[in-house]
Amino acid sequence: MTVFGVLTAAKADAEQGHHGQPVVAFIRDPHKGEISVMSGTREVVIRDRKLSAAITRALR
Amino acid sequence: MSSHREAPAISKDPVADNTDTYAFVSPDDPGTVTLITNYLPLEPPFGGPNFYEFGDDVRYDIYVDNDGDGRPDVTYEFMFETVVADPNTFLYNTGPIDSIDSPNWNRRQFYTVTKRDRRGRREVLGSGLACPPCNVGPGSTPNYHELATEAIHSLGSGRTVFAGQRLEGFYVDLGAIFDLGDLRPFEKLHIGGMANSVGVNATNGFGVHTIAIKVPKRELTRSGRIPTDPMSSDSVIGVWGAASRQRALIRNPDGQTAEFGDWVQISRLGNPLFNEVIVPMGKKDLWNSLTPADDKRFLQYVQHPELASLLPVLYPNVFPNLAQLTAARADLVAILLTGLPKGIVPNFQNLTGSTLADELRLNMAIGPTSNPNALGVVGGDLAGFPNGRRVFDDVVSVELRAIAGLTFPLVDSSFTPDAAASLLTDGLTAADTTYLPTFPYLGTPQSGYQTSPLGMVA
Repeated sequence: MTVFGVLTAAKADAEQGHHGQPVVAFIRDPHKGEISVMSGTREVVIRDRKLSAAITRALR
Repeated sequence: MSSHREAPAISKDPVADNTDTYAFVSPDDPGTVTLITNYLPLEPPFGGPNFYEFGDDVRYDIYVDNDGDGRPDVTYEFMFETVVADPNTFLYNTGPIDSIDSPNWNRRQFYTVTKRDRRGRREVLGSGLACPPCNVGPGSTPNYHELATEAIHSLGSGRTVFAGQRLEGFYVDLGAIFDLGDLRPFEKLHIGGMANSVGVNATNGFGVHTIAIKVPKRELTRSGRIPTDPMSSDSVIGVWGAASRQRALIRNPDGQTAEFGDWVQISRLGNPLFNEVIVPMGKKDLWNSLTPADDKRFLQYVQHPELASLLPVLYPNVFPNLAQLTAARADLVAILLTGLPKGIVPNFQNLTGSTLADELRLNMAIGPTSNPNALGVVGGDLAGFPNGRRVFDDVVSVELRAIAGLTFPLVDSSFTPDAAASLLTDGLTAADTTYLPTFPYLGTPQSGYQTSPLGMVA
């Protein structure tokens, strides 16, 4: 299962985000906790099983 | 078609559909090479009120491989931006567009050209470059040829660029070919058994969106030197075009969209008809996503093309020798995937090495001819396809004949091609469309006002 999640950068996180622009996170592999995080043309892959599970749970 | 709507996914995304790629030594400026990629297949000229344009959300690339590894060494990247002067009118233009900066033109496009090297270093060659409008009609776009000429921009350092609507230069009898491989001049021999007739150019009058850039030859060679020796590997480049979109698209409830993520390739084109005719349906979308360096996985379809097995069935008793030919088609592998080595065609080679890669291979040391033959190398004209591709080259006839076995003796002299192999054609020639003698070489697009809807063939 994969999940698209749109995480609008919270105001508190704006300074650490990508210039306050919307961020899209795509869970590529929920089992490995592999998440593509995209803003503009920038894309990084993080591994965070806890975050992946939390987003997936939100759809239930 | 060369690559118009050639794969299931890209057929639904015309703005990103790379329909043709051309690469040739500029006939009127032989110190340069012209690289052309076309998009937006089969534009009926009467396309208002939203006339055709490039995608602001698409990255268009022209790639050049000069070391034979199937990967880009020089890339020309094109990014577009649409500017609407007055969003409160539905009109494309509010009066005659008599110049490229006319205030009557409501919806314009501008673009940025960036050169990338093999290490990804970027150099902006030009920005804020205006596209011409589409050819609407004599009331809206009078003197269209002159108007479009204003959109030819010099980038300095011997480079020239154009991006905008052109008349389709690729001629093909689509209606017949996709009706069970029918070639109208040979219909009597086809299983349909109808009387022979003349070819019908399915692209007649249609427009296309062209990206053309003319650059000095030395900008494209591995050594950085001007190529003068046709037998030198430094003289040969491999060219292909591509279009990419960002990985994610978010649709907002207000009708706006936003794209996120890295660029993902969704269309490419090197040799005409490769993805269209060689690659099977189930792998066409995959092929569009790959670079030529990955083309080894399609080798079997080049060695044993499906069309070669169909011709003897569709034209009974016409291709007996082709029907017996079961060997891997090393001739097609050379033409399409590696280039022709020295010693096959006298005074010619366009070999890029052993990497199997679908690229349009151009030997830049071979100059243009004043007496071109649209059949290119098989017609004795070394300046034409498959030595690159000129806008008027008859690639349909060349590839039909090659697949029918005409070129197999290049690698196996014991094979005798069937007599029909050297005659195959869909019945069309370069005279079925028009071209320009100077950059950007593709002809002036037909206006909507001057176009009649499609008719019926008798």
